[in-house]
Amino acid sequence: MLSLLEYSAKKEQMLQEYYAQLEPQIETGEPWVDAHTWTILTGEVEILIRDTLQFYNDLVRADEFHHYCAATQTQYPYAQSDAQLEALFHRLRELLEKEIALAAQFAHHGYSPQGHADLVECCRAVEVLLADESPIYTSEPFQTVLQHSLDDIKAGRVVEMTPEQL
Amino acid sequence: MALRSVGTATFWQQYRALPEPIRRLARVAYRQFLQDPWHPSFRRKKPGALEYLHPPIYAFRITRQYRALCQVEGEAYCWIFIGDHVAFDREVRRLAP
Repeated sequence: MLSLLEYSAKKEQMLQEYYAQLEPQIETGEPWVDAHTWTILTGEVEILIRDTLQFYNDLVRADEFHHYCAATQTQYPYAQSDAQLEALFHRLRELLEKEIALAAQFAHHGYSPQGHADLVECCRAVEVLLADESPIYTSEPFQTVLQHSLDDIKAGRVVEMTPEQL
Repeated sequence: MALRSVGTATFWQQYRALPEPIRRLARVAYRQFLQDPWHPSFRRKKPGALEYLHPPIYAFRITRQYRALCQVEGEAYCWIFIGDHVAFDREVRRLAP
């Protein structure tokens, strides 16, 4: 698991560096002066967005594996790995916020990079994963589902849970 | 007193709708739960928004994304919710006026 986290940390660093190279060019560039550069930049920004969205999926898979290890390996360093994953999710959120701003800058110049809306969705997903308390609990749809379950208890609609049934 | 654990009909419905890899993870986590209901990886905590309910409800992590809720009374556990919090949040926002 540690090697997977190290890999994720390297990937996150690579994405940050990629962003750091692109951002100043967009800030100072002018699309109609150098169309060739801007064509390349558009493609590069779309690659950055695509890879960042993929990185989110990678981290979610890493988190699943982390929980699997925590439940199956007695010597698994849960607290240490969890802190590393948490830090990676925080850095991913920072990166997403910067890329949303970058995509907006692009849109200001008349280009709307593919994946802009997905970045916003992804950023919200990371916020849900990092929240101290899940935001769904206060929502009406959740309260409805919860009420169904509480009604099940009152009506005796409960089934014994054994590992074999799961 | 021995641990008693049940799931509501709504819980089972939600459980059956989960993707198979997550069901597998839930099975593994549940075995862990039966050995140690306080294992740190569950991040067992009472959601503040559900504090008004008695007996108290605790949230258990299966993963960061998938969590289960359980009503706990002594050694009696009643599982009342399991699901994907990211997808649920997206759906809530989609339905919002």
